[in-house]
Amino acid sequence: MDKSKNKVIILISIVVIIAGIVMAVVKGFNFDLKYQDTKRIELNIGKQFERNDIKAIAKETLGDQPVVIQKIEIYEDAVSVLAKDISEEQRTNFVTKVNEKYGLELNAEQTEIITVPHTHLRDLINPYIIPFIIATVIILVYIAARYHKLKILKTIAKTAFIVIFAQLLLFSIISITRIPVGRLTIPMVLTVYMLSLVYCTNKYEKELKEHIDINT
Amino acid sequence: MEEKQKTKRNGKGLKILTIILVVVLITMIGFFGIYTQKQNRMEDVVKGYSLAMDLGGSRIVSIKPEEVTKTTIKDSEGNVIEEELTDEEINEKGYTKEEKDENAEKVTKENIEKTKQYILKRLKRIGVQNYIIKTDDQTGEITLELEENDDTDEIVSNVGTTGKFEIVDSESQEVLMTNDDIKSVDVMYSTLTNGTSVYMVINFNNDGKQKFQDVTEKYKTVENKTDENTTTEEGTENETAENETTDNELSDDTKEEQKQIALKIDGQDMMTTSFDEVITTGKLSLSIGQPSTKSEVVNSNAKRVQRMAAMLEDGPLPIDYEVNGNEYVLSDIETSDMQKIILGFIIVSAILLLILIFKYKLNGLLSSISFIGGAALLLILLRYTNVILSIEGLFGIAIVLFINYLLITSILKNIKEKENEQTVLKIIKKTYGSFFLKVLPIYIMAVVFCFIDWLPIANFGMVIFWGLLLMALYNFIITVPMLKLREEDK
Repeated sequence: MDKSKNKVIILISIVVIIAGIVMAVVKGFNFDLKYQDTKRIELNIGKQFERNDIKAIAKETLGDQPVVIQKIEIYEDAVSVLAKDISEEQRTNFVTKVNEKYGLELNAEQTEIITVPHTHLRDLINPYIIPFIIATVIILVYIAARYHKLKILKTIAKTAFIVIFAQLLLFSIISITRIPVGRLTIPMVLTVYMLSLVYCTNKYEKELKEHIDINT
Repeated sequence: MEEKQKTKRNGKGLKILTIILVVVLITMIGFFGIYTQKQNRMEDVVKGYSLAMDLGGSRIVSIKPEEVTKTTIKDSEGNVIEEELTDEEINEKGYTKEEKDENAEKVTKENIEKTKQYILKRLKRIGVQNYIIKTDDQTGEITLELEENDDTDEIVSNVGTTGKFEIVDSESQEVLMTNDDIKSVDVMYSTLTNGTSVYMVINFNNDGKQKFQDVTEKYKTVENKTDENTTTEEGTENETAENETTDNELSDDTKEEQKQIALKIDGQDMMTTSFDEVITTGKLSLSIGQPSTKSEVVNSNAKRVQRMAAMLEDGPLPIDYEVNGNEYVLSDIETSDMQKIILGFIIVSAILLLILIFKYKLNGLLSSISFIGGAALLLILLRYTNVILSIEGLFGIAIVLFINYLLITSILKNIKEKENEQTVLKIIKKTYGSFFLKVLPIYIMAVVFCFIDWLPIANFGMVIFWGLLLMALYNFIITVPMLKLREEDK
């Protein structure tokens, strides 16, 4: 029963991974706005403001698109609005609305639309590759030593496979569900990495116990 | 006899109550802090969290290719006119004026990528442990998001600098040596009675070594100048050639005019000097800053050398850049967002703890109280260790608490199942042993990550490292005695 259950889970996972790969190849990953090619405008409001108020104005004037609102500098009296695209007309409307809301006379023409380039995926993941390799190698050595009674090569191969399989599954889910790739991706990768390791050790501990019981 | 048992039972109850009170106290401090009055306002004496750029805010720096406009005046036949003329004069003579951005030609995809790699190397060399880099492959504009701290301004100036190193004849401006002659740049220290001096040692490559030997021979200090300070500092303070006042062979012709070299970085004179002796080692030592006995000053000078070294070692950036934007931007994750995350976390924890209470009754309740205290203690610990909290760190906290929950659950489960066969302490010891064997790979991973020079991952490692260590000790000191007393009390 357990084995057939496992087979079903593995089969579903393989289907998900294949679908994820296809999706990633065809549509790519959906990057978080902060990592995409974007446009930014900055306004010096000159007084304290609520981020939600600016967000509401941005939603009204910049159309139905995700925006990131950030306060600028230590006095928190200036704002940066990041969006996928900001046209000159949208900028004018946005500045007009901000002027109305805060009683200002900011000039829309003088508000520059700054082009912000995207972040390359390789630049995002590069700093994590070597730490992951080092940690994995040391952990595999530990696993080989601790579970040597369970056939070293088989255990190492199984662990490596489970860790990689879990990561592939995670990225496939990210790709299919269009979860934005960004600040939460690496923590998710780390969590899945740890869970897959715990899954392995939990499994091997049981197998080791059984192995010892049989031999005694 | 019965009274003795009652007293014993009361004593155990009192012990449990004392432990609970300690846990409550820890919880209050961890979640709410300790407030004292300071200058008419209440201030939390518990240290605040150090936040990384994703939670606390960052410096956003943008650099763009510099416009280096060269004006060429040509006559009607296309010959270049060298003399400087006004627009009116050009018109009068029928000449034409052409303006060309020399830097624009360098803005190619390859050069942009090369520049990015150089900048990444510089950041690594000067120890920047967290950044986001974005490049515009069309315009060559590079945007960097950096941690905001005392070094950020220096890092910004370093990143935007081309890093063109030249040793030139101070008069004729003939270029004698460039970055191509440099092999490596090191930091060296020398401690004397007046304090520790920091030196930047430029090691030249094979070609450079020979060139430098020739330069030092050609620009040797002549006799009538040896007692004088022949170094003129420009641009930077207190930079002198190390070999300035050593014994040297005197020149036969003491009236010979003193020739000097100028050391330039990005066309700016850093120093002008001559050499007391011929240097055959291929090393040029320059003292940076004043000697000092204060470690902060020495460290600051050493950092300065590291920044210059990072700039000089890899050669100049292929494209000349200028800083286009430089501002501090707060995180888009605000306190209100954090409150929502914390609330969500509290709700999930409450549900899990209620399950524990429902399943294991009083033992579950005691363990739940202990769990909350453990979480609070972890939050206190993270504030007093060198952890800079980032989103990865928040995930780390959640993972540690989840692991702690699993440990407590497995202890309670084993007590319930095996309490008739073994003593509580034995059950707990066994559970502890098998549980930590299972999570040992996580601990190995945490230790490895702690040593990585990349803040988000090091941060994650540190949270897991301290968290698991704390939970092991905390449960041993608080949870286990409570459960033991409770079981003995039955």
